Amino acid sequence: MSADKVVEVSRILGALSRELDALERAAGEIPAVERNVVRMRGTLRALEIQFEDLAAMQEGGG
Amino acid sequence: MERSPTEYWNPVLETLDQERLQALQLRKLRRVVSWVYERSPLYRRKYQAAGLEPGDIRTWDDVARIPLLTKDDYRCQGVDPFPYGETLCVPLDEVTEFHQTSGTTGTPVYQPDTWADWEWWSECWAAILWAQGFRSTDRVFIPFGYNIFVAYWAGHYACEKIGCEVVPGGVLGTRERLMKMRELRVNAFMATPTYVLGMAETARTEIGADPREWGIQKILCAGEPGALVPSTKKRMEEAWGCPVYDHVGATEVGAWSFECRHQPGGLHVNEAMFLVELLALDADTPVTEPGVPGRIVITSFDRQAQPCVRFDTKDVSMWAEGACGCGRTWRILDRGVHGRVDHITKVKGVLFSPVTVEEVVRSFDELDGEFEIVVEKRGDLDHISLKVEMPRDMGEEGRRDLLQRLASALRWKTQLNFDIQPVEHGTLPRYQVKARRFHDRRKSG
Repeated sequence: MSADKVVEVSRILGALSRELDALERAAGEIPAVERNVVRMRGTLRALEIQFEDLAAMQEGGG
Repeated sequence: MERSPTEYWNPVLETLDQERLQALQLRKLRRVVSWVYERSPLYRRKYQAAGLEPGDIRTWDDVARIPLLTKDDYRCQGVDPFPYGETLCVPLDEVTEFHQTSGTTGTPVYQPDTWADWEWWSECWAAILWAQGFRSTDRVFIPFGYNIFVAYWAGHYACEKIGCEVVPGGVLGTRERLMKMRELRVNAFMATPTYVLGMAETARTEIGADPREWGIQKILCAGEPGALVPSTKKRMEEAWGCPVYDHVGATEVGAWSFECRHQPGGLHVNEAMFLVELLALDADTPVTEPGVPGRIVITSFDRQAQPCVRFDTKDVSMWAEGACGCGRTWRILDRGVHGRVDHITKVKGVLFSPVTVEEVVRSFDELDGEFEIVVEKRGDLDHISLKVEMPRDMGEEGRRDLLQRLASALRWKTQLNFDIQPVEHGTLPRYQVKARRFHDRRKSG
């Protein structure tokens, strides 16, 4: 996989995270949404830890 | 063995060049050091006592300044926030999983995980299973009673993540588990080496079946050493007619190492998720050259609730030379975990490792492989004895010859004369996890 793809995957993961924020806000305090978002965030993080640092390194973030 | 086009769970991480891998590790290390410093009173106290601030970690030379974490550090557990105390790094209401260590070496350690941590566990396990050839077409049996110990829980979740069909085999007895495996035509399973051998024996003696005919294609071993002891691996592979792969993890650490399907004679370290260092057996100096034994010290980069930073496992291994045919750039620990520092001891002035006895005993096809080693003082002298189970139908002359050959092989491999005590078949304990076959009674007085 090319470095560009790592950056692209990381960017989309970031967008998904923001979508989850938006979903939580839109639902207010509906437990069914809140708790399922927690679980989806867990799955999302399993991917973020594999791509976000490499993407930051690629983009010169040290 | 040729590489498969789908060899890797994450080809980006598993084939990173060393320069980028080390840069990634340093970046993750700095983050986890800050994480524990800011959230755990225990870590903060330790680091402040060592004069260390998280920002001090700039290069690899700074890593040695980070204090080691030991099992003793977990003694702060049991106080508020109950029951994890000062090692907890997240609000208690974010914890969704509880597990604990077996307590083999002392008081059990409680291990909290958040849901994100639990996904991390199964992600690490998924990389392992994938490397061993587990795919969505597999029906996997887990002959293990899930409970407060983490063993196989994450394996179950990782199987689901990969898409395998998982059959939970807890509660059932060995015979019933075997019947279910045969009935459902499972093609893979996970167990400790001791249990893998015990199941094959039960299949032959109680069911009257040859498990090699059941279509098992791969077995994952975890929970105790053995799958990388050549004679034990050979025994298991011959009993089931399929490859057997090793995996080593720990409750406090995570699923940090694995043998891939190319069987390089050691364990790959998942270096994208963990930092594994070897330190000298009797000092805290790094061991970097291949072939030199060292204590395994591990940092889990991405765990949140209770990460371990430079955890001294007290397990012993050595770096391997060369690369694996699988193409992963992750380093390999030669022959996996060789034993524990406190099990590698001097007997009669000779350095002795119990795993050598396992290798010898299990190289004798006539023996069923169970054994027990006891070292004790007799007067001022060390005395080492070995109980082995004798074959059921062997005559007196055959037994005498077998014992002589065994004594000779042990003397050759260990430089020690063993007091070999033959016992009847079925006399020694059968373990499912954490077999305890070595007893050094000199220490307990």
